[in-house]
Amino acid sequence: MEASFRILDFLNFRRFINKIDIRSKIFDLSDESDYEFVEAPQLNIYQKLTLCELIQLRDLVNGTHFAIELNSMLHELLYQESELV
Amino acid sequence: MRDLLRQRTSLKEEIEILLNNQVKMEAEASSKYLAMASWCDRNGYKNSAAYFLKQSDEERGHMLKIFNYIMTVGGTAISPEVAPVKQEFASFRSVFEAALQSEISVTQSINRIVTQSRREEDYGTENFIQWFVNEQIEEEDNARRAIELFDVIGEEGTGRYHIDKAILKISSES
Repeated sequence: MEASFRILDFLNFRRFINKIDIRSKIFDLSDESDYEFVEAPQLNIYQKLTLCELIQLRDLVNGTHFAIELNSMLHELLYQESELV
Repeated sequence: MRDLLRQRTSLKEEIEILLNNQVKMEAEASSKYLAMASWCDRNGYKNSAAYFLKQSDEERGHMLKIFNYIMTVGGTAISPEVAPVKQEFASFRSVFEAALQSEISVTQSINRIVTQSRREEDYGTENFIQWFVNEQIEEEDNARRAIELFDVIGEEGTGRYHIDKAILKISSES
């Protein structure tokens, strides 16, 4: 599965994924909580994910977010440096 | 790599969450005032009903102000889900006591936003929210004045009728 988000859509997607309470879905024995529907309408993504896949997606999304934030922080520091010169 | 994040939005995530919560809170305040207006009208306090309808509109205006601000700074403004509000009240006085309590909660929430924006060094949001700090002073003052009328006029006899009449004058006093 491939997806390329616009940054704001990505942030909202991350918010959606983080809000899913995986823990209670694990302990819920009913059939519906075995899967979760993940949508990103603007990219035509409509997927049914198992809990394992959900956890992997969550890690991937949070890791990507970390990389983006790190990039922001570096930009802030680097431009501060060049202004002092 | 370009600074994708900062170019798109100047809001830190924590502030954005707080602002969206405030949107929800103002929407709920608007809904609470509507319930109060309905109760007052049902129980014969027509002027108070009109006063609460006006308050409800004002709160919605506040909500839209914050909503527009979030959009302006590049955040995601979330349309609020309003929790069910209390429709029945024990007495005429308790309606105004509930109104004051609601305004106090809003003030405390606004103060938390100021604190957090200072912590995050988001001076734009701090400046923006100062308008609400001042507005809340006025709102609490009005809510307190309404309750004060109960003590000044007294509820015996035709007291409640006179209190209801005096409520209309509150916003024009300030």
